[in-house]
Amino acid sequence: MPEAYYSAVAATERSALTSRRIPGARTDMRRVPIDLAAFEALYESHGARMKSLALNVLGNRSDAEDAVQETFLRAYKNRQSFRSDAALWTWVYRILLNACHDIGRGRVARRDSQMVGADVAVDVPTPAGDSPMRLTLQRAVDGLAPIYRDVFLLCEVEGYTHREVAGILEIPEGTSKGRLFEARRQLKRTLAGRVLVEKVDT
Amino acid sequence: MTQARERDYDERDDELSAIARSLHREWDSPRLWSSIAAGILAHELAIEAGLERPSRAPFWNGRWQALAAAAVIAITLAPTSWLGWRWFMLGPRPDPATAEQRRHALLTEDALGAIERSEQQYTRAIDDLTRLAAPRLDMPDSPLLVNLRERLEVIDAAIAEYRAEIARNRFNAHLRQQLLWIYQEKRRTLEQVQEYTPDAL
Repeated sequence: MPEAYYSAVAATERSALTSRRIPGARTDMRRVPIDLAAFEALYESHGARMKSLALNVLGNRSDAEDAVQETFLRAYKNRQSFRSDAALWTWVYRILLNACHDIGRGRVARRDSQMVGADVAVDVPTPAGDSPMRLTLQRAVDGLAPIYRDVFLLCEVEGYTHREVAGILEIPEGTSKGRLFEARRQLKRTLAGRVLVEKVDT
Repeated sequence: MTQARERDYDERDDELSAIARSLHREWDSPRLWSSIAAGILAHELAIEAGLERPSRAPFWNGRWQALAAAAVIAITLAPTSWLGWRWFMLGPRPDPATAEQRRHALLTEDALGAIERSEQQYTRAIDDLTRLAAPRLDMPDSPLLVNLRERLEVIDAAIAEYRAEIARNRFNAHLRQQLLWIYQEKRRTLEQVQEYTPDAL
């Protein structure tokens, strides 16, 4: 009896889940009930960019995947506090950035508690396509203050508009533009210095 | 700013944007969603089993809701506190046996339906993980893999036993809680199998 019962329930559940699935990369989920299916749709449409964003904040894929997993768990557990006048995905991105910052802080604390002078190996992916400029920029982005880094990564790397970034970070659009300008200014200064040093070295 | 410097500045701007776009990375994570779904469903099951509390919308979300809540509290507080005092002073002392009975209260039909649905979703997520881990389980023997394989066999046997017990007593919350823990153990073991690499020894 249990097996037949389970399979019957499974069939009903599956059809209920698929009927609520939402295709599309930029889906507005305001009117969709926030259940597992809604989060699955969100993962399908935004998962890749979420992982990329987390990778650029945290520096390695394992931590990035942990951050994305933690984000969905936090979002699901706190879905009651989601305001329906906002888009679900911007809310989830905000949670992702907080999760990344938490994981980053935890990593710094762990590093501090380890032996003095012992370097922590960071699994920065280095595929064949890595150019020196790219790696230089990556290091320079790591050196930015989080408020500038987050805007730079969202706008320039992941391609979100200032309006979307403003929704994610809950800041005015003008602030987003100002932060991006400042981030670019700092990065250009850092990159110009590095390039000059590289030219002198060679 | 001279024209040459302006041009140089614009070129550096374009270059920065071009390099920035290359920082976007994509890679496959075939079991990431399964892990997320399993975590979410474990949370759901834990709530159903009374192990975790569901989060609620912030109480002070809106002024009107807060005022309404305050009014309800004010209206209900007076008679209930009087009844409580009266019950405490005049009524019988609570029977320890009654409290124990309440603790072991059986699940209602509605709660059972919700739990069984959540269990189904959780089981499906675990099955997905099992399918993903299957190729690794077929790899040549190593002490770690043998150990994990044996643990999975024990877990599967325990799951079968608990399912049989639950089929006989569907309303037993304790059995369902035990089954949830076993499923969580299975998920952890499958994740270890997925993380296994032959040169890890």
